[in-house]
Amino acid sequence: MSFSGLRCVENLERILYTYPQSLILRSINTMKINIDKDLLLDNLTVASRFVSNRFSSVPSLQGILFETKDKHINLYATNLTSFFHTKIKNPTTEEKKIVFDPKKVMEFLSLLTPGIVELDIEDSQLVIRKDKTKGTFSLINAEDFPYPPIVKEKEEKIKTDVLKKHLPLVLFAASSDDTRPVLNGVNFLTQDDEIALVATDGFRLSLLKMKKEDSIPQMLVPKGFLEEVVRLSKEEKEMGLRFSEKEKVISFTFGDTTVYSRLITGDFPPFEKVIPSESKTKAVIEKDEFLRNIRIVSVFAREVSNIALLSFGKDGITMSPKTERDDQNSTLQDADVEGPPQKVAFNFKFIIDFLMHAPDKKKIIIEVLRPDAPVVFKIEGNKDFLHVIMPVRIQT
Amino acid sequence: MLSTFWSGFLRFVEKNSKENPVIYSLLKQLRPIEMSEKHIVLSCDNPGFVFFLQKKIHFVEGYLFDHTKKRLRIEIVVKAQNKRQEPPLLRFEPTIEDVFKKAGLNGTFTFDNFAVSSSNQVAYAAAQAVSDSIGKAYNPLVLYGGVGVGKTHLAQAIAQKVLAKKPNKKVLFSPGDLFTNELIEGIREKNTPKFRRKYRQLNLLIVDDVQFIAGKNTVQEEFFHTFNAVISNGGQIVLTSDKPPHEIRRLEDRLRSRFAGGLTVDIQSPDFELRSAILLIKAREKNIDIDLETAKIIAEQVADSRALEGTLLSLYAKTLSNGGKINLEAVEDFFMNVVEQKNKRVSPHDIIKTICTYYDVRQSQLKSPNRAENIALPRQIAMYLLRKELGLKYDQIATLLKRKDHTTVLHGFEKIKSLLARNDIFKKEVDRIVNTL
Repeated sequence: MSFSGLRCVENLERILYTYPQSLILRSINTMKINIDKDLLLDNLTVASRFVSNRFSSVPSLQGILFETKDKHINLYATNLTSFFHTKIKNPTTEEKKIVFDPKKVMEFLSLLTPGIVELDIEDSQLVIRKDKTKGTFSLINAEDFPYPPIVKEKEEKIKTDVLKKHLPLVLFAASSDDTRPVLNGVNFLTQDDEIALVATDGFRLSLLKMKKEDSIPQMLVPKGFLEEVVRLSKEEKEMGLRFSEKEKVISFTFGDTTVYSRLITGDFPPFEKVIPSESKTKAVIEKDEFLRNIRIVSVFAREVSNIALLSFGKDGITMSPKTERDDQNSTLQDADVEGPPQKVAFNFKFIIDFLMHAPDKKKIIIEVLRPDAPVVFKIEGNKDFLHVIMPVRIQT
Repeated sequence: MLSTFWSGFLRFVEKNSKENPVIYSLLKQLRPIEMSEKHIVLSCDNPGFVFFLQKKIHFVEGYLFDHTKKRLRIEIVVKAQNKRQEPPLLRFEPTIEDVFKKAGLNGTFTFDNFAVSSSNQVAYAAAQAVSDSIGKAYNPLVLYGGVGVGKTHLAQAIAQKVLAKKPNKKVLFSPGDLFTNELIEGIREKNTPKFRRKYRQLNLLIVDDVQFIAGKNTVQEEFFHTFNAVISNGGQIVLTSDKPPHEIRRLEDRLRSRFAGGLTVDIQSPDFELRSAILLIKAREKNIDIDLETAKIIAEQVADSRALEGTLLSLYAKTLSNGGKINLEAVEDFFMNVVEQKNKRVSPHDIIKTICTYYDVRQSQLKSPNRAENIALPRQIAMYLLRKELGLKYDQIATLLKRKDHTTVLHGFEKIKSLLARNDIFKKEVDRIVNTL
């Protein structure tokens, strides 16, 4: 041992003497890791969804942190609000920390044939080898890369069923526009033994109430993060939940992967007043047919600022694009309509959005109060859920 | 000045940003908005930035010290970029009619169309006072009186006035049977917390015909707690009843004492002048042409204000063929028919039933030999009313009530008659019964 170590030092001195410095340092610090290509690619793909392209001016936030420690490869990604961390078992004992942009790496990996790839991690670049193929990728300064927040609270196991089943019905209604952070999330409201999930983007709103079974706390959680949580929970029956009231952080754990998110702070707008408690006209219709019909109308409605006109009458609902000349394009949907006839105009995209998330083979109940009041959509047999869409004002 | 300082500082950080590349790039996206000798306030639109920077704030403060040689504290605030107009759904405000409907009001009962006279002016003033300062004036306010005297009208007017001033107040007008039904439903669906949320957080709770909860233990228990919760939260309670609280049978004592804790006002049957006024108001609301003299004649004939409206409408329907003008002739014709109809309509059985409900005795008790005071009195009232209202003969009444002979009936009739003459409260009681027939 000591002998070979000594020889090393001797060699080093010789090299130092003959070669430029940078080259030597690189050759000393090179670290080799063997890993299954698909395992790496899959994890990078999930991690990359936590990278936000909003931070183009902050290079290290464009990347993924790749850190070897305790016989594991740790992957970290963040957009400063949500964080991703996963551990992959690997026999390597060296400790190393690099950041690289995942896009190019992922594209390269996806084109390789399955099997083990060899990673050469050098100081300023990452080299990936597979058989006779070799790709070199530049690294980003790893200093300062933000680690996920530390949550000291105890982990609780909760079932994923509830969230998997219900969250998508609410999630799509949350806003994707960053100008008003409180609308970017799903509001979890606990009331006695009930929990309500609300999301709105200011044009439509989803509200779901359910019996509180797990200890889901009261919180406002970013939409993008929850979308990833739903995706990650697809294969899982249970997940670990940790919540820190003080740090305003929530984390979900699936096996070796943990995702964290800062909660949104601020007041969710008062939403109860926009849900009408009364209705004058009520229609019950087949979801699949409704979706098909509204798509037919959308072909023409695209030219008239996406506005589709729904006329509720005795025979059913006549749908047409909002145009000056009536009757040119229209379709009549059979429906059981109760109450006086009404004409309501919608942005058809909101209706399609809702129908895409409503379960198949179910009936949809539409409740209209007035053409200028929010319209309530319900799913037959599910009285805990409702969706509200604000009609578009039109001159009649 | 502030921005020059800030950009100078950023250049300084850039030179030293080798170890903290993220901090520098984030700082570039902040805007300074305020600076003093002691601190500097930065604004930012992304909460994620703030979380990150707050953990590293000592680095930034260190840079600031190196740059300015002053100890400056840093505050970062999250500010939305541009305050635009609320999006359409959130901008939506329910109309006042929606608000009324949600509170269980029908929207037509206001203080403006309530006719006031000596029989109801105390109640009117109390209702006004309550609506001006809910929870403070009289709490609870109990309005009682017979059918069609305007209890519900006043109660709804209070709610309307409160909501018209502040539409976001939590107001609920709940008929007594609705309260009962909703509670039962809540128990059945195992969702009483929902029921409690609905009732206990109200700013104004009106229970119309509260006597309906009497005799139902769970409902009274729940109402007791609701009552306490609303009052202790500074809310107002208004109750209406067909009799004063101390006369409501099978009402728990603790409720009785609470009902009496505020103001209890009695609304008497409208007198002739008031009835004429009511009729004229109703006619104006419905755009029916009627003159004062005709109105007086109708008011003379009809005692109940709800019946006034009914009479008015039937008269209007009858005269529609000749222009819709209600004149004396039409009125006289009309009443000729009505008197006959009324006698046909009320049967002896109805009278007995109403009395039994009012006094909470069973019909079998009424027809039994039992001569206890609480049964004998209703029985005698029954004799009186059967004779007075239906003109039955004494021996007919005796058979109906299973008495031996007509003298018992005669005695009962005379006794009630003299009681009525002497005792004003008793007279009102009997009037109320007659009204409910």
